Amino acid sequence: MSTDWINHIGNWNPQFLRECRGHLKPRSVIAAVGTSVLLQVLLILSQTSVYNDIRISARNIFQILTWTLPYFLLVVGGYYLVNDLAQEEKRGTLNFIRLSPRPAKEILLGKLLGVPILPYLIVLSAVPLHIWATWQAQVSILFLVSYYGLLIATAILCFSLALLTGITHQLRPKQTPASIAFAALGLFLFAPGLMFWNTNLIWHHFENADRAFYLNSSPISISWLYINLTNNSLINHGFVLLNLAIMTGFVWKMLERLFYQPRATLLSKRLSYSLTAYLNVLSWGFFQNNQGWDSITAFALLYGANFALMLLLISTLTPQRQQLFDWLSSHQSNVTTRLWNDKSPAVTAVGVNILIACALMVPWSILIAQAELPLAYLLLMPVSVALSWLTYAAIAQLIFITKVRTPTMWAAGTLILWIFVPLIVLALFQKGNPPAALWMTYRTVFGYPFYEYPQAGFFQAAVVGVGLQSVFLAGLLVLLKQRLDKLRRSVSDPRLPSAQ
Amino acid sequence: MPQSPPLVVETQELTKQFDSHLAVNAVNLKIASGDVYGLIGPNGAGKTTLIRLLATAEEPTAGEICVGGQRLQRGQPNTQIKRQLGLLPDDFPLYEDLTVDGYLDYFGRLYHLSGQTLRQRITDVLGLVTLESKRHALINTLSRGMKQRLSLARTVLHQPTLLLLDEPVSGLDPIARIEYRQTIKALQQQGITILISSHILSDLEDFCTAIGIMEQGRLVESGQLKTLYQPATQQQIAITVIDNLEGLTNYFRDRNIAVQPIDDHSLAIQFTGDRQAAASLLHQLVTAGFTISDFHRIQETLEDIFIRSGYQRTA
Repeated sequence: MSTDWINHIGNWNPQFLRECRGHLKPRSVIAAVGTSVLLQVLLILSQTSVYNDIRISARNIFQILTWTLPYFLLVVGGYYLVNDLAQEEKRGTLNFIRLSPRPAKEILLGKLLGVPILPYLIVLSAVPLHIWATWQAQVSILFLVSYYGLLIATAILCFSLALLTGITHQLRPKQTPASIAFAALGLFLFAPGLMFWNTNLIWHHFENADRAFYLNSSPISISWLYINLTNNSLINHGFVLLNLAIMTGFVWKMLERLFYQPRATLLSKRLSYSLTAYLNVLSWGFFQNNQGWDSITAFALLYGANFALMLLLISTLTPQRQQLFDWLSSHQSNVTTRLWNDKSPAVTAVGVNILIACALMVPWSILIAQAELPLAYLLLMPVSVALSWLTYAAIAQLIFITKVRTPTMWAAGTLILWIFVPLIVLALFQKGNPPAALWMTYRTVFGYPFYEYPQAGFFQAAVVGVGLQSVFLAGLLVLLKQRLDKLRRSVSDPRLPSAQ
Repeated sequence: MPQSPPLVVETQELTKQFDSHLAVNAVNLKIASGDVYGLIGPNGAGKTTLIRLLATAEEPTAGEICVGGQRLQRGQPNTQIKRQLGLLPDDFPLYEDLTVDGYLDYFGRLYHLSGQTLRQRITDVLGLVTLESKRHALINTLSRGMKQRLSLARTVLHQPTLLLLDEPVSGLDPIARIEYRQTIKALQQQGITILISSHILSDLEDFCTAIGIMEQGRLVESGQLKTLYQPATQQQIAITVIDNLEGLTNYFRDRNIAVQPIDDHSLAIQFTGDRQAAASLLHQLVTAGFTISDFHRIQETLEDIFIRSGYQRTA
């Protein structure tokens, strides 16, 4: 490498140059590329010794490479990134980088490009064989353009999430488990997701590619908002790439914020509102009258997705005690700060997110399910669900405001009990045919009014359930206010004057 | 009237609260350009937190910080302020896998230095911390003292206007400490404003122009060092004689001057006069027949100021 070239890279992105200098030691490069080449030679020998036909051998090589490269890249690359950032946090070196005037985006891009540079090299060294095998197997060469394009887009999302995991302050003491857990995520979610979605929806279009992927049955037909994602290459590529880009954008917004404020909540309130709107529109689009699901199943699935989303939002929006201290000492407790300030209690923001989700879900459920379910039920159900989600948020915030050693564990444990114990009780005792109205009240109190098709007399029972829910939530909110007032008093103790 | 130098640091009611613990309590700090400001105080007084707040490494719970006339914005990158700052924390994590040159090259580029300017700055700072011979050595082969000096080199590489040094000489042997002191003096001569915290008061006394004393998060004393010393009216003179200490004691008592014995040959007296008056007194004593072997003003030390400050607060 010439000095000018190194200077050019260093001036463009010092972090990338630093990572290259750290990782591209001659011994490591020789070992990585050498292993890759050796494995490729072994692959060629294994196939050509079994099959005399070069085309069959090439197809097998094509299949093996096509399937293994994403798994290798996403698992190893993800592990490298989480581990590297967690080590930097542990050593304290990341603080110096934070204090530099370079923007977070630039530093993190340098990390994303530079830390997994050895896995990149290994994949790159396999590309010539992949091209040859694709050509010999008579698979369209355009397939490779699609394959690597989608692999890169998925890798960017996966590695951005790895960066997020790496700089998450709460995971710092659990550096090794976090790295392994993220590698497992690559192994069981990202790589299979990439391969399953794209083989079924996109790559079967390419000449001979379907045989290469062993697609014996016809590809799955999926539509989004009446747009068929299976038939048109341009649409399905556009859909996948656009959504990967949007998701990556969300992750980078979180990254930029957390980089400068490592102890902040994972998600800002502002971003949570757009994330909820985006995920609801995305998932709602898939339930539009074409997947063979009846309306109640579609509704339950959308509810399930929102349930998971709300739990995620509660865990990522709820500020801890120290952040509440900061908020109470420097801000007025009013609706505006509760809506937008990331250090304010999360209950209001969770409420807004529920409203955003309901804005789409409730009118749609009334439209599609009115023939099957009574209107009163369709209106009471979201109220019950919203109140139960707000109860989760209030419980989590109350635990985070309390002085306990591991508030995250306490909050998670309490919510798991609160969510699942009623379901277990329901499953255990419902066989004894208790009064239907009683069970309706019980289900409504805990936010599961749709657990079973409503029976006669459900309305009054459900109203009682919602009433009880409201009283309980109001009690929690009063308790939360008392705790906040107490915290405020400890903040606003008169400070002693200092010199000058 | 001479114009006072501009303020490089100004804080207003700066507060940092960790849970119920007020680490920094309504601190109003002012540091003028070119000052070497020594921050002293017992462990847990809030010195490190104050330095971290000024370095943008920590967000204040309340209050304002201005560096170089620019107000620090919460939750923002504060790029312009960061360009002016150089922080050396008490621990000094380094990239052990890099060479000294590679490490400085990396940090220089992070601060937008490049090309010949960067090369020259690396040469300059390595000269400043006397590490030129280690330029191509791997960091993991350096001694602790060298690593500490390398950290200082990294901190001043981009020529900050404000240098924040948190316990920079802790853990160094006496020779390394002397070298470090000389380096700080060299930086002082370059006109860099320095805020330094240390428990070694004699070191601070050597180069500090201003001092702040912190206790339980509060800045209880702050000002130019010369103004913090005892005023002339409360100064003392120590006198040592070869013999006849009793006669000397009586000499002063006859003139209603309070005497404080030091040892078998020395005593101290309260003295309010100037240099001329001191010379006159010495002449009188010699004329009176006393054999004086030592005669000097007792200079108050930083340690005395620190202890006095503590006693005053206790009282």
